[in-house]
Amino acid sequence: MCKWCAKHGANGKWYLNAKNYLEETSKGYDDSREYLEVLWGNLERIYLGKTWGMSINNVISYRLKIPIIGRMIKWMVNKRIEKEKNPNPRIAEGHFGQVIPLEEAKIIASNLADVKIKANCPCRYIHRGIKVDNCMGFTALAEVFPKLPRLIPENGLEILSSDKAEIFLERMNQEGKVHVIYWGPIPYIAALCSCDYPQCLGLRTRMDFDINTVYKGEYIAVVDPNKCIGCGECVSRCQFGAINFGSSINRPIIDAKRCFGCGLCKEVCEEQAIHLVDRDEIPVIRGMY
Amino acid sequence: MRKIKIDIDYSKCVAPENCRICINLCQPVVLTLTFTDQDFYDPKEWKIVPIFPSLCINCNLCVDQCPEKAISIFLK
Repeated sequence: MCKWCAKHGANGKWYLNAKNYLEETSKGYDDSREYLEVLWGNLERIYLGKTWGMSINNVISYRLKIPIIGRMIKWMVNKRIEKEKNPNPRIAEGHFGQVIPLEEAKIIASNLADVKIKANCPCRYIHRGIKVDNCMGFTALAEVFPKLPRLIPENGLEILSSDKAEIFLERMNQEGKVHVIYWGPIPYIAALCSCDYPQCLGLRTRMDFDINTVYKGEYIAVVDPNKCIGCGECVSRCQFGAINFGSSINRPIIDAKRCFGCGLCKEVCEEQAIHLVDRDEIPVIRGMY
Repeated sequence: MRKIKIDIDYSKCVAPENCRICINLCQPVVLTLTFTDQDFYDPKEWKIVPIFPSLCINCNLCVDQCPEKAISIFLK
């Protein structure tokens, strides 16, 4: 379990703690509505604008490669993102997420989150100029969506029932999208997104620049060599480049250090040869989030 | 380290909102349709902007496929 589970998980995982979804939590020491309105309204500006005199666009992408200075910048940015007290939404403080498998996403959609609303993905709109309704916002964020016209889907905003939300998540999983759960300001959970690299802002900064905008999941995928028939379906599903196909041994090889534990490869396996194992059970990658 | 420079001739690239060929071709999403400093929410005023040029994989698809030949990629 990661450090956020220890802080806000109540002896479990942070995203499975019902307290983090409550209305009261969102109105805690920092009202989530104001925070989320500024954050989701200015996402483009946060991503491409300047923070502390540095734009992530041109400056950081090269400076992160410089040996010691790069490591310092990374440390500073990570500290900024994980800030808990008085987060500033204009520089995306306190807004990061974690990859979760489909089963846990379904538990969140059916049991934990109260009001669920689908909205357009701002990341895909910034990057590709397309509008697809792949993001699901919970209570506080659902109140913010009507104020942001570019996030409203063509058919208008609708409140999803638990069944509809589960069907939606299953469809996203079939399309090969990774479920990522995002903090509003900590300790409130605001959104469950269906992301794919490289369109997603969070996954892109995590994968390309190793900044902790998205934490790795609590699991990793493991192949059962006795069950695997070597069809290779799982290889094309991986967003993170963690699966290679070993042609001489006729089964996929999963790189545990790269695996994010999203479980996309598991869903497509007809022989059920891939299963998810708790990250803590494997000593080498324990604590690598 | 030699940096990759992506130049876009804005006198040739006039209506990116309607064209969008390069942003759909670019596999690592280096070229994006993005706001400029003056305006923010009006997509008609947006421009094609290269972000994270260090991630460019030099496939040169955008250079070849651009109908106006407005994009050029070279080493600084």
